[in-house]
Amino acid sequence: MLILKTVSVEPKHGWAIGKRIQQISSDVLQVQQGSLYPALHRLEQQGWIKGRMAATETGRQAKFYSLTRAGRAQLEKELANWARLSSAVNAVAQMA
Amino acid sequence: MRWLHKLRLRLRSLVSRAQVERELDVELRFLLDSQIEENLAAGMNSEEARHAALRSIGGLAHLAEQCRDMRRVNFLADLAQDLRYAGRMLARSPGFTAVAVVSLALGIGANTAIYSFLESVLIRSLPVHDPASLVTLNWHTKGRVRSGRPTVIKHGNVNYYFAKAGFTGPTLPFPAFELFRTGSPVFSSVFAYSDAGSLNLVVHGEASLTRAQFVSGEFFRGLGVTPAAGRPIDAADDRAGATPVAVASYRLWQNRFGGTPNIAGESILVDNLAFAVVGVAPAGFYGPGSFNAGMEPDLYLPLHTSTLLDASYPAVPWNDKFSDKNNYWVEIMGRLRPGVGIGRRKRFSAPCFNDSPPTRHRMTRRKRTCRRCSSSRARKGSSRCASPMPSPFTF
Repeated sequence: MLILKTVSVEPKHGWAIGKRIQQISSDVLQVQQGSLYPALHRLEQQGWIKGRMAATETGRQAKFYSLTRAGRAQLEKELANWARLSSAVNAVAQMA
Repeated sequence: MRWLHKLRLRLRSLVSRAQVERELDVELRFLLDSQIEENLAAGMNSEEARHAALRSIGGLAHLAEQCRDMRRVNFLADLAQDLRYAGRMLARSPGFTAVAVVSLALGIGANTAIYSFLESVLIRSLPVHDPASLVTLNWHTKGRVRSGRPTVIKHGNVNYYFAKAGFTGPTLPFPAFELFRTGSPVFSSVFAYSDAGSLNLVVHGEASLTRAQFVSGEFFRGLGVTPAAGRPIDAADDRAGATPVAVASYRLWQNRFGGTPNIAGESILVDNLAFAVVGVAPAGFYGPGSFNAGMEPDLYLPLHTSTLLDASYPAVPWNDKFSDKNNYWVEIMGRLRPGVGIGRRKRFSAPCFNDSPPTRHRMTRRKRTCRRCSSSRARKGSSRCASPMPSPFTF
């Protein structure tokens, strides 16, 4: 879900995805590159994201991932699920 | 459409393997370089930065392998590799390979043989029209059986089954057949048949022993069988004094008549009596009786011609088998009218076909028992196995 959300804004390469998640979550979520890349390949295999070779700002070749239509649908589903789950957990946690 | 997309991706991973590998390589190298740059910016020297980056990633080759696993391509590549390896090992030890192949071949062959045998015995339906609506008629008497085991009493060529509910058997006297064939509300047609054993057949001056079956005039029409050539035996042929006619099996037609299309009217001798062939049964037809493979009847004769053939043995004192109520010699099969279920068969009660005590065979102890008829499903033909009749229904 985090990866899908991150690439939903604009196409990003793996390194940037990891950094972005870390940055937005104020370093609370540390993304291991070792597990990020297999996850990216799995998501591509599922058809939720699509990779394309392109040059970065520094002119280097990298693989940029963008969200597909199926990926967008999946993201919405997972966001809704997460909202439901987290509000439920919150409700229990804040029980008087 | 997702599966289509997946299929395309997977095909791409397989077919343009080099391209995908290159992309993976570029992708991971970029990751490594980015990590090194970050480490350099944090103040490490180049060697330190490189080692730290590799450590944090956990090995490029390992990561690449994980990515490939996610693509599920490795499975196929590994399979091909394993198969090649298996092939090499088999080629290296030909003795072992030969033993394995031969035992597999024997095992598979034996299995196939057993199943095709069981299929023909247990599963295959009669090759006739709507075999599910056929029933055979069995007689049975009430009575208790002390030993629980079903036994078969052989009397001549007739078997009596000793089932839990009393005695039962599949052969009936001809008058019983006449009782059923006239206007039954349950059966749309009723026909009778009887094994004729092996007869001497002469075709074009060549003699041979041939299995034959006596059939009533309704036999072929009742089974819904269309002859391969000519016409079937019909009711007009099965009368006392009618011209003796015969129907050949498809096999006999091919072997002895050369498959000639105008077989109708060919003259043959059966036990030295002249018969006219009128038609040919369709290929694969073997009648409702149960026979060993290869022992199917090759000749079908009208029931009434059996008196002509019996007459050639003047030493035996024959009764009139068509009026004698105590001569059990025909098997009867009926086709249920559409919509007639088991309940209907139960409710329909026919008169006792024989309430006089049988005197000619050993079962005289059952003198005062009334013989009733029951029917059982005959999708696979009449069964002569030594097993209790399946759920008898009283008429």
